[in-house]
Amino acid sequence: MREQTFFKPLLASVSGLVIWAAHFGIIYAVNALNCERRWMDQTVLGMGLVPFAITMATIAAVLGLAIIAALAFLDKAPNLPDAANERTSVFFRKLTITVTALALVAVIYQTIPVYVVPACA
Amino acid sequence: MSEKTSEGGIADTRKRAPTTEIEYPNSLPRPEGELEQLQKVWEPPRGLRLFSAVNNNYVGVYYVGASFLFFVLAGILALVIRTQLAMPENAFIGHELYNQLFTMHGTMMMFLFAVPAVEAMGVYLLPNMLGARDLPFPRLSAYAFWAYFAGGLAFFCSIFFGLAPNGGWFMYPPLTSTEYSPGINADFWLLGIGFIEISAIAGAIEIVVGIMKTRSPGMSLDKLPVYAWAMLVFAGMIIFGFPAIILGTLLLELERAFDWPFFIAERGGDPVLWQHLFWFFGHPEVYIIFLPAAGMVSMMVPTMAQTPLVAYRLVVLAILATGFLSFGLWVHHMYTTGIPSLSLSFFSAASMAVAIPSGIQVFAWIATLAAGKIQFKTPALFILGFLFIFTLGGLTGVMVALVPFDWQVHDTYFVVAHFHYVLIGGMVFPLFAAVYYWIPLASERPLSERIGKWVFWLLFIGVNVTFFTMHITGLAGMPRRVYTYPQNLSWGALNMVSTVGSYMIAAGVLLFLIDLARNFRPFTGNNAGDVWKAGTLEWLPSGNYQTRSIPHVASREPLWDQPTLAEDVVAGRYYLPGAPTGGRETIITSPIDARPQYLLKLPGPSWAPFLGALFTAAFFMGLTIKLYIASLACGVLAIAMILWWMWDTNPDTADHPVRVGDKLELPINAAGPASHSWWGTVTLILVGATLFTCLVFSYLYLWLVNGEIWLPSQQELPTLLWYALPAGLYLASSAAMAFVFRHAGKLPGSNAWPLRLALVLAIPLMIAGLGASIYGQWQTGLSPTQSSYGAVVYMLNVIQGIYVFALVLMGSFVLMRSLTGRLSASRRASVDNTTLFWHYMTAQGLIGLSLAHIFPRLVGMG
Repeated sequence: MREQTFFKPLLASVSGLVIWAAHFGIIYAVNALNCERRWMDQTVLGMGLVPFAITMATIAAVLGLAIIAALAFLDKAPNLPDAANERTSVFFRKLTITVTALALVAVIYQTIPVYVVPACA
Repeated sequence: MSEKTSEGGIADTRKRAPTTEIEYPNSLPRPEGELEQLQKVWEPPRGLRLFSAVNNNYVGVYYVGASFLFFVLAGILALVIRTQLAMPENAFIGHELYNQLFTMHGTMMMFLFAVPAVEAMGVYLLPNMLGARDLPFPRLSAYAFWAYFAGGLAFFCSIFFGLAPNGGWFMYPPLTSTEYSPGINADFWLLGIGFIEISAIAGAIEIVVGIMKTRSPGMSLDKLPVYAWAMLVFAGMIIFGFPAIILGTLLLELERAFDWPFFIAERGGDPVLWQHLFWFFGHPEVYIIFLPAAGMVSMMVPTMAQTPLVAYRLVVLAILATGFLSFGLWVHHMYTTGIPSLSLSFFSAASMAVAIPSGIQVFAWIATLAAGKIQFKTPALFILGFLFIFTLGGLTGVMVALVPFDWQVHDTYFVVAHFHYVLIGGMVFPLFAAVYYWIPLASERPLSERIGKWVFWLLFIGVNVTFFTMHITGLAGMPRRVYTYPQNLSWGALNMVSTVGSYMIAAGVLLFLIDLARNFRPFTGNNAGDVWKAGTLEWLPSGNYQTRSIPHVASREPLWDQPTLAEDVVAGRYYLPGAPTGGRETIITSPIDARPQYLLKLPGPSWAPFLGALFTAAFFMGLTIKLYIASLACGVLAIAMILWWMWDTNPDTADHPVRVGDKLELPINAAGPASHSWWGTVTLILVGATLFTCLVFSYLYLWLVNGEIWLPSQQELPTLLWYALPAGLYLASSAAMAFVFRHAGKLPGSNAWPLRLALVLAIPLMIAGLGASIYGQWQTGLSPTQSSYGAVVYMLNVIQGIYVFALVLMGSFVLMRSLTGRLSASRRASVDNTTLFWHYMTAQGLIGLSLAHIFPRLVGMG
């Protein structure tokens, strides 16, 4: 009855989408703060503040997704309690990988506008 | 269940998998009288006692029926609207009534039909599909249904008194503020819908715990029917989406009743905050409606094609991804509110990303139909109609996800056409398919195939005639929500076509009702059976107790892969073939691999949920029409009814363990995370935490957009003593509860009085913490009416206060159980759940205090 082990495969399989949600929330908040508090003119390493912050957030998100996918590929992702059901474990591993792939597409897709759309127009 | 096929039957063209050897949990023959006892225990109520029924076979049918009633009523309102718009400068109805009609039509279709209908189908189907005898909290289902039905009827009747809301189904302030909507029409929406949302959340908690904990042994998550996956994500979305609108309605009602200026710009509020809260719920709502419908389609398509669903795992991925991505779309309803263009681009990107999982599901259904051999029965026709209409709605959805295009068509009939294609295609057609498909499970006779085809074609042609035309009407410039239009704009012919189409839809629905009246015969103890040759558990022979024995599941389509399954289940070869405790029971299994954990004793018919729901509805109605004393009395009675039904939960387990198989004995209770009630409490805490998070968002949002005037310059912050004092009281209260939790494990061997004293201490400590938090702000002269800052700071305490009220009730309940000898180490669910909620409340209180005291200092406002 080790109920807590329930959360491991569940969290592993949706962690890609959790990273997408965190990335989405962060870039939305960064741009909202930028436009409301008028930080448009500030630069970091030659980049505008918003492109810099969003690029960093995206790099962190992509790294996180890569780690989750690699763990699932290498079969190191959290498995079921005492590996009771191999088929179920394989199902969750494959689900984790495909969810992560979709999350990667969504993260990159929502990053692209920062390089082509003015922040506060 | 009879073996007969009917005119709705389907030919079995599927290739069967080889039968696997099974070790049966129970041997034959079964003891004499075992089946008779099972039937007696699950005997359905008759006569007036039908109102006291709680099991899903009854409540589910009531629930679906009520949602269809509201569908018909809201549809009649739509016909009046279309009649008014059929000709230019028509004087059929005036603008006052028209405003009420379109508001009620949208509100009823969304809140009283769409969400309840899919939730109702879940209540009915899930136990059948999962192999459970019932959902884990049957009285909660009954309460949720009666609350929704009574509240919905009262809400609908407001239109006969000219009191129906008239600000549109999304109720934007400032139009709905006291200044511009001074009557009680808007209050009907705010209190009525807020109340009905609570009912939806109750159903969602039931569904989450039901899917995770009451599956047949062996039904691991990789064998879970796709419909159950969809309902799991649906319920999760309700848990994370609905609190936003509940908070929004609370804020707007407080503004209207007490002048707390959350949305009044002159005092630091912002009407756009309402739009954020509304659409954070409102956009996921579209998928909340669509996902269960898609889940039903994923069950029907394999049966219609007589082949397993193609790409099961990808469909599960699509369901999970839709659940998440749909929360990143809310601003795409707000493209014209002046939000920065880069921010709009994020939402535009997410709006397009969500098309990927929707596309995966559509291709999986098409591939399944191609892999098998489709038989064009009525459900199949509705599924094909769904694919056509929903895909068109999806395509126009991609169009309006493009910001520049949306600016052009915003608030025109193009948008009306788009969302009707999405909602009717994505939910109504699958629901009709599902009703035709699953009625043989609930009724002695299936519906007529001949009439069903007429219904389909009338609806399909009617929908396209009505709403395809509206795209053109919108592009021609006609705005939504106008009660008439001048002749010289040339919109008359287009509107007439739409009106003719709407009457075709009405004819289709009427024909469907006639078919129902002719053939739908529920509650007879007999059903038409597996007329479709389907593969999933709901088609096993069943009675009011569901299946005679609970099967061991070894694949996703057990009826296809185990040809003797039905026979073995009926013979009692599987788990729990009788009623070993002499009452209603079901098996609780582990959440991932579905291993049996314990036996849950289920409650039988009871008046408490029915009466509790009526009193709750009366409480909200009393508030709306300002009968405060009567309202208070009804509120007290509602709480009394709920405590009544809670009283006999967590029964004495002296008679455990019990035998459910020759070699399997199960305990009757479990404590902590293995318990279904622990899961229910955790789910409830998630609801509360989401609501609180939305309030934190509101606080930060108001600070961000109105920083200059948000905190009045003369306003002082309380000293840090008023941070430390309530925080200390909350923590002391939690420490007392931790003692209660630990001491409960020593009962009955140890003296119970230290536990009782600790409880008596914990309750006033929590109340004192809340009091100190409020007084700390009050003694600085801060008023909730003075500015949005004051309003939102006091709102942190209002939310805390509502939860503290619940804690006081829970703590008193635990105390009463202790005083009456109903608390021990093996009977401690009330202590476990109360302690869990208590600690959460302390954490929430500390976050609220930090936001009110530390954040302003951090950003230099102190």
